[in-house]
Amino acid sequence: MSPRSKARAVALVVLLCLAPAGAAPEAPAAGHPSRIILFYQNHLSGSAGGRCPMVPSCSAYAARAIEKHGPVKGWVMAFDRVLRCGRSEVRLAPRIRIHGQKLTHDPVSANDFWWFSPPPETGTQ
Amino acid sequence: MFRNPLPRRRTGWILAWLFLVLSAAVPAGAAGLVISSDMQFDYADTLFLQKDFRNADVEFKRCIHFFPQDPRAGRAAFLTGMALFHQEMFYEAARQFDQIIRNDSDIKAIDTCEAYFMQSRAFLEMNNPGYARVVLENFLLLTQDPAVRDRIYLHLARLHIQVSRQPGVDELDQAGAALENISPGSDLVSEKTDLMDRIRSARSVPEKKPVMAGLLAVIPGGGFAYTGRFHDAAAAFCLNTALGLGAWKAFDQGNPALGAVAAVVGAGFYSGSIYGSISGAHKHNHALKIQALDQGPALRTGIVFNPDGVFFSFNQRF
Repeated sequence: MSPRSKARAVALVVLLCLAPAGAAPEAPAAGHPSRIILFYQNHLSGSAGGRCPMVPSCSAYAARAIEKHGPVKGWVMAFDRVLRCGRSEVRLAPRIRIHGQKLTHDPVSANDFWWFSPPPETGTQ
Repeated sequence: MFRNPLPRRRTGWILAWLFLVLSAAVPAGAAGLVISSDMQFDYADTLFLQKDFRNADVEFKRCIHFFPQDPRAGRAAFLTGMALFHQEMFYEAARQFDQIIRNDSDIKAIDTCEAYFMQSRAFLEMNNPGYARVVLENFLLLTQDPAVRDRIYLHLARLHIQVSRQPGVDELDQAGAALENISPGSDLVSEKTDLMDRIRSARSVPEKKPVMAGLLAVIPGGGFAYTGRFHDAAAAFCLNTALGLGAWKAFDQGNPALGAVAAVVGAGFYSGSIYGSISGAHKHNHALKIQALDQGPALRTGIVFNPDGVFFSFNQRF
């Protein structure tokens, strides 16, 4: 592989990594990431058995993370979740029973609390 | 032709006699049951003690409606709120307690005093600690009774500790400040000491440094290993190494498309593992803080001998 084609490939990787950065950071899910997740949920998840031991499932978590924090942070959180799925988190996070199945509760809010504080709610007394 | 065997006059006498006998046989009290305020209140109270809160609520309301001048009407209003609270109708309970607070000008009345505390608890149950705190702080401004003020400070401290259990929220300093305001001669000193101990132990937990976790995560899996997540560490190491090597090989063998895909996925997992390591350190610290605040079930047992017999005691910390 020539140095020129190597440089082109690296540029492509960088562009792919930075592509969603132009979007508003807290904008709702739009564009490719959510479509990829929807495609996975609609066509692949079922055939894979839908065996995610966490709740919400990794795809739902990714969709929620992208919706909440925008494509860049959302994707990073999604990869983090896929990495942790069914491993140490099962031992450490609280477990809940859904349809007779014990699942590990690991919502987005359990992983962004240290840098993200939701806007205060306006309640009525 | 059919003929009546009895003469008409005789039949009239028999009917009059029967009427007199039967009307005399009916007891006078059966004409209508008159329920007094005592009966109504006692019935509602019995239902409340039997934990039939739904019916107790109705009967206490009936008590207030029919006997508004009864001296126990205020008590009935408070117990209505309690019945609603026990039915987990927290919004209705908070409104009922609010009504008691607004209607009763006597801040020293026991039910009014309790209504403040219960309204605060109802807001807390509704996951609204802000309102719960405002209710207590308003009460603090209104009351001058030292015992009640001590109790408010204790409740405020508990409220701050409860809020601090949420991830990303730390109000332990405010809890400590509220506890400091409890007067030294108060009956609540033992509870104050207990909560102070919990706050102190929560403050002194051996924390994992998130920055260190992030730095160690530069080596795939290092950050996870630092936070005690060894399975995650192994997965991060294997995935990142495999994808990195795969991307390198693909580029090296003239397959930039495959290399780019492997690099993009690898970059995702790499940044994810750094994020997860920092996040893991924060989660570890939070879990330790909660553990210190709970301090586990501290069961204390005791035995007391006296002339009447032997007493065993069990104290469970909640």
